[in-house]
Amino acid sequence: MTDTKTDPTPDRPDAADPSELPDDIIIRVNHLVKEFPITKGVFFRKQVGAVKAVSDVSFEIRKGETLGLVGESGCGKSTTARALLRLLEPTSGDVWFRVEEDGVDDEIVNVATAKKEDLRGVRRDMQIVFQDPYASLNPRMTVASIIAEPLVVYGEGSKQERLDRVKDLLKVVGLSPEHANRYPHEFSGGQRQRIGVARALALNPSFMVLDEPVSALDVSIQAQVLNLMNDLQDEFGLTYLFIAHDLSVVRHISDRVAVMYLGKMVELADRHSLYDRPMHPYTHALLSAVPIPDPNIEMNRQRIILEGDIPSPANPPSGCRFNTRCPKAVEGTCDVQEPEFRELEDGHWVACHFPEVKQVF
Amino acid sequence: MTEPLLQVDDLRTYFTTEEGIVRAVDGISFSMAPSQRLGVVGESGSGKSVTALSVMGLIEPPAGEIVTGRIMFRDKNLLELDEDELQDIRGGQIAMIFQDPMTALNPVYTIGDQLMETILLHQDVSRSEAREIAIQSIDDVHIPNAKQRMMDYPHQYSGGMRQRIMIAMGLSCNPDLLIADEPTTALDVTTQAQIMDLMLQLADDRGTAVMLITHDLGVVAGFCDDVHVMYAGGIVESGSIDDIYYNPQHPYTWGLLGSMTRLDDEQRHRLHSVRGAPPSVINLGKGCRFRPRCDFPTEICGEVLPALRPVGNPGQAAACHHAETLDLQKMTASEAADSAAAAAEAGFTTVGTADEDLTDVDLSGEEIETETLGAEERSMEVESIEEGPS
Repeated sequence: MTDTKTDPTPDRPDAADPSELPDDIIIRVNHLVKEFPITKGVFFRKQVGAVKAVSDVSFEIRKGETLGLVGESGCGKSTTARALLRLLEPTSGDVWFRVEEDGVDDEIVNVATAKKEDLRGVRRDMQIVFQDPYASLNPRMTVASIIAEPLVVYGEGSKQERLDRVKDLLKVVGLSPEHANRYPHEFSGGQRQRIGVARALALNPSFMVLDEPVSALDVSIQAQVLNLMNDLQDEFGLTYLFIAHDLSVVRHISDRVAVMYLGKMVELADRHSLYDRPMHPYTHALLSAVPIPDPNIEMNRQRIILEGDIPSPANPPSGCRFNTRCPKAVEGTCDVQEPEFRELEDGHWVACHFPEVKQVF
Repeated sequence: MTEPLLQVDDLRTYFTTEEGIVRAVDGISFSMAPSQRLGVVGESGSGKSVTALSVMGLIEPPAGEIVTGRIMFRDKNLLELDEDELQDIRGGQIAMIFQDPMTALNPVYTIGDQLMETILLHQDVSRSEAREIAIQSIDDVHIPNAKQRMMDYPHQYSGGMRQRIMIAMGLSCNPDLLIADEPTTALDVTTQAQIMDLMLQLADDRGTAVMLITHDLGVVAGFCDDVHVMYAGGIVESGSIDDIYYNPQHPYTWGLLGSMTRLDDEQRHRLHSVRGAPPSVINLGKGCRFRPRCDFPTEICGEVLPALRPVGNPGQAAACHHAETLDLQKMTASEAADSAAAAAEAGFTTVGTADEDLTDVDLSGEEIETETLGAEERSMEVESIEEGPS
């Protein structure tokens, strides 16, 4: 194991040099940390601790691919996404993002440290679709003004041009141009999510974060929206960071999948390796817990039932963060030493002292 | 045939709202045998939860009303009992677990108090005996240090543990029937596995009949003996789990199975989505309620509401005029994506290239949920659909 690499994005302080970021990489997240302070007292808000929501997470996303980010509630997947878009201020770490200039002179920007005014150009290229289609649309704005808002912010086009663009976008997401003058409450959940997608597409971004875009929707509507996401990716060559807790949805949409637990990335691999040859005990448990809509398979499945609950991220366990619930934990190793994130097979990264390929379904 | 534990006949539960009468449950009949595990599956608004609340006698007039029907629990019609008699059965012989364990528990009482309340109400025991039973029931749901945890308040428990307490509470009086309404929907997947495992084991040990209400066909597959699929207030298909998953007779069941992403599915094929959205159950027109979303509608579907009738395997039933001729089981999800569904999907999912007519068809289907279409618009919509998938 001596020849295994130990970090998907090694420290490269000079990565600002575009030649250092391989051409096919659109975003590189380097040792990203996000902590939320826990304060005490009313007047002198003394910091007494920190919720370590994201602890040293590194990964890359290739142009045109979908990276699925999965984990249970509180594992830090949404915080990772928000910190890399800088909707939250990262505590430390770098986020190198490729701003495409007509395919020639790409500019590489460190989103985590860039000045606010420099971020403006970057934000055109990175967009987000939120989980809750009921909360993420302003109920007092018409669909046209919701979708046109990014265009207005960036001063794009005349009023008429913007309206034409809105109508095009509505068609692109499977709605009808006549919907432009209605209000969000007139639409169903699936339709609202389409409006959210249209808004995200307005500025022709190259990279989109999809934060649980289908988990609030009914199954039959989920399928419609997933199909739409796939079509849009093909049509516009979009790169997705797809965040979800549902592993079957992630398998369906992703090219590569990363699993997070308590602020750490525990496994990262292409979709086939991750689902067919998972190596981390947490991934094993997670996969074995997902129900499959097939009685013959379900009735004969051996589940790995984890004991207990996820520990608090304010006070994570020492050593490997999963050691308190891990069926394979070895005392003296797992609870003391933090496992390195290593590449054990081609493109298959695991953070475990005792990784083992296991078929779980 | 054993005596049914629960027999529901032609249950109709309506709610009166400003926009009109919501027919949340509209004429469903089914029965449950002792120890049977029945899954009630449907999307939001299909009436599955209202069915459960009706059985529990938790429909509060004047907002909601059970208009007609009979709910026989053993030899008693629950709808004819007074509040005291109902109280005896509710919690004692029929227990219910709710979706959100935080709102179902009272935050100002300890877990122990809340567990003992149920026990003292339904069993003829002293306080100290009730305490023992409560501790035992916490133990049964595998929460360590049961004695200490009795003194804790709900906020000191995690989501999964609260749901365990709900199960403990539900089973503390050894009910004959447990109604679990989306018991794991609010939980993470590993916790869901813990809870379903626990419910299965406890129900097995005690021979409790369970009605599992869920939108998740995956959870049902590992837990239930039989399944009812609900759509817009009615049961559209019922059968054993094997019937439903391997030999679906109703286009909705078939569409639902096709739209699910599967963990064991290596192919990245297009999902066969059911187009449109579930209809509003206000002012439903005549005819089949699934018609606007169906891939195979004909004239009769717009005229006559199909009744649930035996079709497919013995014991299986579906409410579709064309169940015999559709031969759905021969079409796998991926085939479907290529054939009949291709036309239907075009309007919804194809980027830029969508045929205008089809876009209109799909949208009119989806709009039913958000707008109550007048009779005139409705007939127009029917026309436009006929142009579509044929």
